[in-house]
Amino acid sequence: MSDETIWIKRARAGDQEAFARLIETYQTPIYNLTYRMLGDAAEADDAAQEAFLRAYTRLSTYDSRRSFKTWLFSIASHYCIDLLRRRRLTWLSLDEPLPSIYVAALAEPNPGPEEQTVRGEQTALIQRHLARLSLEDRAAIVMRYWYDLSYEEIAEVCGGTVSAIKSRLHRARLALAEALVDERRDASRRDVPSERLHPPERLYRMEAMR
Amino acid sequence: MNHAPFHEMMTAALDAPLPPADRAALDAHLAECDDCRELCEALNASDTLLTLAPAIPAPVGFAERASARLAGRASLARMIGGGMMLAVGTVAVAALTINPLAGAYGAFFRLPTFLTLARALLPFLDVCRAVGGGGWLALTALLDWSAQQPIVSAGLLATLPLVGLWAYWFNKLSPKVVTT
Ligand SMILES: [Zn+2]
Repeated sequence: MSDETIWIKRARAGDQEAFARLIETYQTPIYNLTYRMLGDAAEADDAAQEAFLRAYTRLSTYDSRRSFKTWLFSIASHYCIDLLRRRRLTWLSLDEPLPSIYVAALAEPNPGPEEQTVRGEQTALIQRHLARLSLEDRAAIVMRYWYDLSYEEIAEVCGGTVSAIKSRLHRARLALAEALVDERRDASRRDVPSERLHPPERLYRMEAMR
Repeated sequence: MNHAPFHEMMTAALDAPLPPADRAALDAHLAECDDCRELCEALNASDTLLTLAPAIPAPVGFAERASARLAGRASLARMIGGGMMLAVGTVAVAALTINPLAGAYGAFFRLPTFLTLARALLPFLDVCRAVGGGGWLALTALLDWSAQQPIVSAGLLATLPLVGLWAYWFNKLSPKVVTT
């Protein structure tokens, strides 16, 4: 029996220490997932904690013949989707000008070593592109690129059939490529650095229209 | 002309090499279609960007904070459970107390035997024990919780003077019995 299996078994019996080991093991994959979905460090931190809490309370529904990792991913990605969907409704009804999660993606690059700046810009670029996708498409892309999951595993995490996931990824990849093309066209037209291209209002409108 | 089949091939090529016939058809199309060539180049660039993007590590102290939140939430749940047991138990005690009282009223006409008295008393004791258990559970969970969350222990301490204050005002407001 692997360590993980033992921790899961003990956590199921109410051992919080054992579950803490699982949190330690999966903290980075889950945090990266919530960050990629939400695009804001503080939001991602809170959502990742909530996802672990949900997992703990639902441990009895976990089928030990399946992968624990994909089960955890499924809980975390659905939590993010629920959160964004609820929030979008609130935003639309309150007519707030700008959700903060997109501001963070557009924040000034951190001062420091050049490499860190480039990395920060790339992260901002990626988050800007991801924000253009529907929530389900975003989750599928995150699963594909950061966790290298097969189509079968992505279907397990996100729900739906394998062929539905295939067409979802196809559509999402085209949308991401088009985002890149748009940005380049705008950049050559206005001759401005590509980081400043998409004002947050525009992202917001796209999110709201969907 | 329908470009969609070529788009399908382009995204399929990101996951696995295309069959030679598809590859040749796609290359031939890309040679003459500017839009698809631009899209294909962007697809590859976007794919590379995402493939190379590292996972963003969890912030320092994340695991500890998540575990503490879990422990806090668990003792809160126990406290709510204990509180509910306490409330249900109190109602049950009240119901069981009313019963013997009614019995006593009946006894005005006919005295109860020892057996009927014992029969009424046993469930009464049972419920008292359950209420005590519920109260104990709620109390220990509250203390547990306050050990993890300084703000809760501060709140507990703050309730002490508040209770004193409440007792003082209650005493002041309640009508005095005038003795002459
Ligand atoms: Zn074409």
